[in-house]
Amino acid sequence: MAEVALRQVGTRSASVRTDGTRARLRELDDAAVVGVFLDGDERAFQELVERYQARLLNFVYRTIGDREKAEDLVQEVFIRVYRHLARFDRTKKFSTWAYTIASNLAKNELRNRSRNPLVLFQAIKRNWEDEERPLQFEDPASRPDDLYRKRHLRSLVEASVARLPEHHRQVFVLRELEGKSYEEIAEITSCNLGTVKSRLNRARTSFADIIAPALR
Amino acid sequence: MHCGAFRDRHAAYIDDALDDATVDAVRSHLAECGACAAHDTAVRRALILFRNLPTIEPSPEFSARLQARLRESGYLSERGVGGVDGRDAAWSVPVGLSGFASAAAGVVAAGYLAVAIFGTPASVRAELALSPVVALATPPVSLAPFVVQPTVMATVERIFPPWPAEAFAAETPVRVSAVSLTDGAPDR
Repeated sequence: MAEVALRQVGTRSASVRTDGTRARLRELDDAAVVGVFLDGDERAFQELVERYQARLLNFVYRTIGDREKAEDLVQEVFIRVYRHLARFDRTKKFSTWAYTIASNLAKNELRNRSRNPLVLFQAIKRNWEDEERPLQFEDPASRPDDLYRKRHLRSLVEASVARLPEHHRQVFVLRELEGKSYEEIAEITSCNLGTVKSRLNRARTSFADIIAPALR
Repeated sequence: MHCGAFRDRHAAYIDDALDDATVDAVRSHLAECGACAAHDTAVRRALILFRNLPTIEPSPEFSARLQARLRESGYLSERGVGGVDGRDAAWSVPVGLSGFASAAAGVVAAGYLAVAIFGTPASVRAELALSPVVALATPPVSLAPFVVQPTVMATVERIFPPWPAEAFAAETPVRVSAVSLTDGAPDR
């Protein structure tokens, strides 16, 4: 009984400590969390993962169009972050750095894919299979015609984005989905500000031109 | 303003990044030029659709898989495995001065609890009574309040459109609905 009581006290105090640390980390900005990690607390890395995993996943997914591969690449982003965080220039924004790594990995993936038609076919096939899932997986509360229209609209938009040239698409996604500033996009994509503005303008126009006929 | 100048400034116009004078010039041009006004509407509508694409979430095993990959790569140490719960188990916890102090406090608390539950045997009481009193120098304890640094949460500026895509979609389903009803499946 004493052992059980002892264990419970130990577990409870450790749990309180863990919850407290989590809450404290959540209140810190990215730079401070990075600092905590570099001071030796690896839970700070988990905080960074939780903050950025979904955002990076959506960015990479919209850039390469393959969910499974996107998740692999985001994992690779975090591995590189973990490995190189000690050398990260903390005067810069952590998010910009993480997006830069993700952007480069996505670019490499697209480059490799263009050289390997089989990979492209597998990605398309997987997405096609996703589309074949029963309708009720999307939203059981919606009417079938609503579901159909939503899904069709979604695939229409995704297909239109996929038709943008890769360098336009990245700028487009960073701006429209991630809400990045022109300056951040320039840093992430290693372009100058003028190029970012021009690519964004063209991407928006092209996207509107591609999707407009389908909506008439 | 002519159409070329309008198109050059259109992205900045959509992002509200133009100065007041240029915004006035752009609006004047839009009032006069039907083609540019149509272009502006088409781009804005398309952007509403794109910005309302549903987001995807990482798979439930994302974190565990990442930890496994980090361990395989030799970056993540095995320290701390078997922690308080599954979530924190793999991320190691540094054992510093504060950790040692916490552990010591835990042991003292557990001992106190054990004594409170089981009482103290007579023999132990006797030993304790005969033990010499030793004064131990304790390190000074800082009573400074714990100060939480001011935080600036990194936020991503998200532009939320004034109405959801579905509202817009409801206005433009003519072809979409026709395809769905007549063909039974969308064109791929």
